Amino acid sequence: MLAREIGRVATGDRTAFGNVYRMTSAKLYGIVIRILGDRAEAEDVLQEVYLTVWRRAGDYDPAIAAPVTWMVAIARNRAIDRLRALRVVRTPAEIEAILDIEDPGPSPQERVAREQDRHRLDDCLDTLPEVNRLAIRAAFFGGLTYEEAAIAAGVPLGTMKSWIRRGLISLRGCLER
Amino acid sequence: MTTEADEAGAIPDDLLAAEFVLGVLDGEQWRATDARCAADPAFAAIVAGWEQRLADLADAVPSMPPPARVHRRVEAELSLLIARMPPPEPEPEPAPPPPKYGVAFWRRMAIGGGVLSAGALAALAVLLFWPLSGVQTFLPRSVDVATLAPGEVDHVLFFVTVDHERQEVLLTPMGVVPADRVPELWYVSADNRAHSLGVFSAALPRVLRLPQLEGAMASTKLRGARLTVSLEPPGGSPTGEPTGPWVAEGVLVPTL
Repeated sequence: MLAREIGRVATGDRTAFGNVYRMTSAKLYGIVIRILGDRAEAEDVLQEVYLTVWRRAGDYDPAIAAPVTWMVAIARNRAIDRLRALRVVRTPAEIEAILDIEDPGPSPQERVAREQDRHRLDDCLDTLPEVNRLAIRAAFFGGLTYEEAAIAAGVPLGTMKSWIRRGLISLRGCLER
Repeated sequence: MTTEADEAGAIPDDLLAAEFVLGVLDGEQWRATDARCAADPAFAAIVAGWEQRLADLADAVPSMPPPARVHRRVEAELSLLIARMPPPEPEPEPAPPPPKYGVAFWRRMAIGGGVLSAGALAALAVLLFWPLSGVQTFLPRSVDVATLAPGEVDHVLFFVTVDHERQEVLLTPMGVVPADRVPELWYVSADNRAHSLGVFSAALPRVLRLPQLEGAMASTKLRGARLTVSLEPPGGSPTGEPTGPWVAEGVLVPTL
């Protein structure tokens, strides 16, 4: 459904573009505002994201990624880019607020468009030691740098790097199995 | 485990791509890696692999509907983007006589719209001195002006002048409007409703008598008001509400 609409956007169809916006803007705004923590910046970035979607709709390849995955990647990329450009230094309290997202476990979540093997990531995350899993989730949700994540967790930078890197390597191994 | 060595040495591409997607890289590294994605397709493919792997994490982030203005701005910028696609050269206007008011005067007036292009200034000069009936006499006294642009884009599409004394509004188009559409000017009231101020020309400056707004003289409502332009079929919106895309918005500011 969404993939088909993106295909139409690639031909310059503005109605399809409006549909894409309606289907995805709440999800993308949720992601972007959590990373940026500022409404005005988040609105600005969201605008940039949709114009990028319009321009790059022709590059979207459904064989490589689900449409939501493709759009989430654009949104996160633009949000993190803005965050780094702003050189925001977040306080531990702000970081904690960002990370206030439940570890989902197997509970049913709001799903926009699902990939077939959607539970695999959760399953693999569950195989990681808790510190590695929490660090990865935290970094992903907040666009935290290693340094911010280390401060938030109250551990040395090297420890945080090690947690996240080892987590990522194990995750890759698990997902390939 | 060997974090010291990790920090010192180069890390493998696969891990770098994962860190990039996760978002843990700091400013310098982030920019360098982002640039590499654009330049190195092999690396971009590794990044895409990680975007895929980590995508489901995003499901845990609560959705939040953005304010409606974001959609309006996106549509406005898109209209502009599309209008710009085949860059049409405007007809060169005959050289106007030397303007009475210097360039600086007009720049000051264009508050919020950034520096006006030479073309826009020429259009304003023309509008002041070209023998268009009704326009010629429209010289500043108690006037408010607004430059209307799409979203944050520093590109003025319309120039609006409100003459409080004469109860008139002048809209000067400065950009390109699709041939089968006309600009309709709207006043946005505090309750976020749009009230039409009239249908204008896509090509020429045009003066209209201000309508009543919410049962009052328009002038009283328009001080500091937010104005928007939508593109409508010839004759204007058939419903009385904007039906076409918003293409520009701005705020009226007093000049005196």
